[in-house]
Amino acid sequence: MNKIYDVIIVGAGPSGIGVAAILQKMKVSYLILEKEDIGATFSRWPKEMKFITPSFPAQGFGQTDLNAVVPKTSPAYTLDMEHPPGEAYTEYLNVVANHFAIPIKKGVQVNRINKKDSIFSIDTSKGFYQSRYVVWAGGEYQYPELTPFPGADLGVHNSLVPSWEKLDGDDFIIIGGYESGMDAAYQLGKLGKKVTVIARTNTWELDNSNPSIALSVYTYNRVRQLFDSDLLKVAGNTAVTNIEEKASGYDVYTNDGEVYFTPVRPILATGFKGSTTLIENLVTRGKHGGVLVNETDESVDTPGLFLAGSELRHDSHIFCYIYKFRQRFAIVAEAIGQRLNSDLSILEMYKQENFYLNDLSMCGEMCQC
Amino acid sequence: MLDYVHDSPPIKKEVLLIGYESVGKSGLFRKLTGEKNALSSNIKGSTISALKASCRLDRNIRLTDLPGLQLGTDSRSTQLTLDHLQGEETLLLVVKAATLKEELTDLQSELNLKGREVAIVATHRDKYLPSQAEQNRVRDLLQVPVVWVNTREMAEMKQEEVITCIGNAQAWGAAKSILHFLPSSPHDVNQLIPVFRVPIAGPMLACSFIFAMFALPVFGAFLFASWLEPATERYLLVPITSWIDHAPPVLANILIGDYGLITLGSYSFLWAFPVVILISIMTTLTEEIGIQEHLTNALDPWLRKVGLRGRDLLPVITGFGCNVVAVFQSRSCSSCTRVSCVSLIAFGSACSYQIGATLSIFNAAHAPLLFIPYLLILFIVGAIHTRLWNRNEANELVHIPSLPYIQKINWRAFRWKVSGAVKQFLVQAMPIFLLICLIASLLQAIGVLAIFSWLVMPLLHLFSLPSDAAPGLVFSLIRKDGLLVLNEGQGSLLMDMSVSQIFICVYLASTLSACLVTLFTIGRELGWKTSLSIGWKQMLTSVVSAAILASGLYFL
Ligand SMILES: Cc1cc2nc3c(=O)[nH]c(=O)nc-3n(C[C@H](O)[C@H](O)[C@H](O)COP(=O)(O)OP(=O)(O)OC[C@H]3O[C@@H](n4cnc5c(N)ncnc54)[C@H](O)[C@@H]3O)c2cc1C
Repeated sequence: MNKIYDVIIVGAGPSGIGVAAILQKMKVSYLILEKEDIGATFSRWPKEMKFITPSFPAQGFGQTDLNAVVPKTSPAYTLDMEHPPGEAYTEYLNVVANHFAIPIKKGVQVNRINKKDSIFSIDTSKGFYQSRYVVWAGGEYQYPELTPFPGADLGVHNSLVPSWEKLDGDDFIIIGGYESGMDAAYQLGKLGKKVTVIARTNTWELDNSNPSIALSVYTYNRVRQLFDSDLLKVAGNTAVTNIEEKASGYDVYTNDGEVYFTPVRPILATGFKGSTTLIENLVTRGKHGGVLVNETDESVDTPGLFLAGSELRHDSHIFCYIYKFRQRFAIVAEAIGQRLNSDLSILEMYKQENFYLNDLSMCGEMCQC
Repeated sequence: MLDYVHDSPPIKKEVLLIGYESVGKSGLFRKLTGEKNALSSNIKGSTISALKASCRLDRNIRLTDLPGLQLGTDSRSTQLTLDHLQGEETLLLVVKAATLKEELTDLQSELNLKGREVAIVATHRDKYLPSQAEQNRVRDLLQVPVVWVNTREMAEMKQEEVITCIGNAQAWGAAKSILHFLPSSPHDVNQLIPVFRVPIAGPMLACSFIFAMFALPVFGAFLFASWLEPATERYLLVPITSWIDHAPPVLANILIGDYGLITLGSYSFLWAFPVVILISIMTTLTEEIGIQEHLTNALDPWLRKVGLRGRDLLPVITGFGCNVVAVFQSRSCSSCTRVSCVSLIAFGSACSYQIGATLSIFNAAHAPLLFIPYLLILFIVGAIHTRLWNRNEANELVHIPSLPYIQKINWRAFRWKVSGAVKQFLVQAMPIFLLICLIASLLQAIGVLAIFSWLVMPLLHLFSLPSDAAPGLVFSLIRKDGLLVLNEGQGSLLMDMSVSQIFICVYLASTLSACLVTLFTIGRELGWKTSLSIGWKQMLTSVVSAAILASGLYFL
């Protein structure tokens, strides 16, 4: 293990593959470390979950597919679906990885990273790796928030549900009203099961004083149909304080004193902590809770450590979807390439194809997803 | 919370039509509501106030047509639309199929659409109809219903489709970054007719086109009137006059005296009427074809030199029909050039009544060709006037507005507009003019007509005009065809004046002030202070320019 790579990328999800595809063209020596397999996160999606952002076999319209990670590629074309489920998207990532012959070490779990004398040493389940730069692309999905309140361990996190169809029971409580929670509610409702969503924010409501809906329209328009049935109940502006096990099921306590009962394990759609919790020693967090980075997405604490993917944050600017955070892959690759004196000509194409966003000043509140 | 559930009888659905100018909003409104009056109360592609009506095919849907928005400007009509957006109505966004992406992107950034119920109609599908795949992509990206239509040919079925589209309106949640993925426009957004893009020659051509737009009707009216005049004189006026001569003197005076209803009134009919009709036909035709915007757009670079923008010329063109309507239409000017625009209308836009009257007088003075220098001078002094009094620069246009397509004439709309002009002449202009004649006759009969010459004494002196010209001057302040009073005494006044005098007199009468109704409208639209300020500035320019002209003419 004495080879020192120029770059090590952690994670072979959309971000890791996306950054790698550029480094490959810049002829940088790099390696991806992946704890499982390419697109592991998408393989874990509940079977019924599909992409919110539509895919298109886009070339015809002069814009690359929304869910592509490399310009001029298209999941829609590869998979022939507009809203691919997770499993199918994994296939697309594999096609891209093969096409670019991206070097990936699978089954290597990164546990800890240290930096000494400008060299990163990466402690993994399969020994040490060394590099000059690290691109952290570990994603969020595999790092769920499992203990948001006492008794949460009695519930089951939505990211750990392999398929909604396979869940036993007909009367569910879902805690959390954002994309995951509402998607779960929709999927269960579609199966004819009763669902109660308890949510702190009324993401599904059109609030006129503040005309915004926190849900994506795709999800909103799907669950809206359920509002008209008696399958879906929602307790808005309500926070769960704890869960207690009862003989016949679970009592879910809320801050307004109500107790909701469910015979089956409550579903936690309470979000994710994110993989950056593994590298807390190399980062500081801002008020927004995200890792503080400079204008090339490099940790302000640890030069040479870059962040890619949906955990990335610049003030109010968040990058929750692939079509948003993929615009930063080239920024990271450029910053590294410049220091390594690599051939940067590939960036021209990225700029042309709108895969390059360097001016975040323009966006104001529009940058919310 | 669960108030989405409603089994109550169908509620009325309020729908606002929102879109940029000339995308076909009003056409769509007319088709869907069958409202005929939408035609007459709507001027030049731009709706200047909100119209409401129920859909013909579904009475529970009520549409409101709002003034067209303009890209990147802050005009009054844009503001009106923005004001309307505070409510909870469903929004029907109307965009041109070919520029769907640009228009939606702009609408998104200018209006607060998020969370609003939205449906979209893409118009002019005859110009650009995207493939089925592309249509799907647009719908899927936006997550709201979209239909592609041609508002000019919308059969019942297509209308049903739009109604369904409205019924399926969905909450708008597309972020700016999503709109970015809409299919790009097939061609150049600003489709100015190619010849007008040629530097120098383009604007010149546009200029002569606009000139022809007025010169042709005027010439036509002139030919017609001068052909008809002798015949009317011989077979109508002479017999009537000799017949009325036997009537009691007071009556005879009122009917055929110096300011006789018949003698002067016939001028209005013979001269003003053809001009009004022909100009109205010409403006309506060019408007229907959609060429006006191209002309004004071609002139944009030049107009900026006088503190206007190309599109501000549209109301000025309308002003040649009627100034009052033009002042309303100037609502669509960017607010920082609106005052300049209105002052140009008030000064330089000779309304069709004024043109007719002028023509008649020059003809009576046997110098019809005077009309050409008259119009030119009006243009030039008007431009200088606007430049001098309005020093503010027209702000840089960030967006180049997309221009309307050149298209076939909608004859129904054409008929409506022209017959509106005719009606206005008959029920408004004629009666008022006759009233003016009547008052003049009465004043003359009781011997107080001199009060007029006393009113405009300084002017008469300054320009050595006969005191008999005073009523013409004064009445032209009330209505521009009041000028016709100069024909008093069957042209005897004109016989006594030199050509230069007549020219100066007519020039003064037309420019000294806008007509009362126009001033009144300006007051209501822009405030009385502005109206007064426009008024006195115009008077000053008029007198000074007349003085310069006069010194030139009298010297010759
Ligand atoms: C309900 C829901 C719906 C969504 N819908 C959309 C959508 O429609 N469109 C869209 O663009 N986005 C969507 N997203 C978000 C999308 O899933 C993420 O943005 C995307 O997965 C992030 O990609 P990533 O490469 O950063 O992370 P991941 O896809 O999570 O990839 C991280 C990779 O790193 C590996 N890894 C993690 N930790 C380690 C470690 N310590 N050592 C080695 N390897 C490691 C993982 O195995 C994984 O392969 C959705 C998310 C959710 C929860």
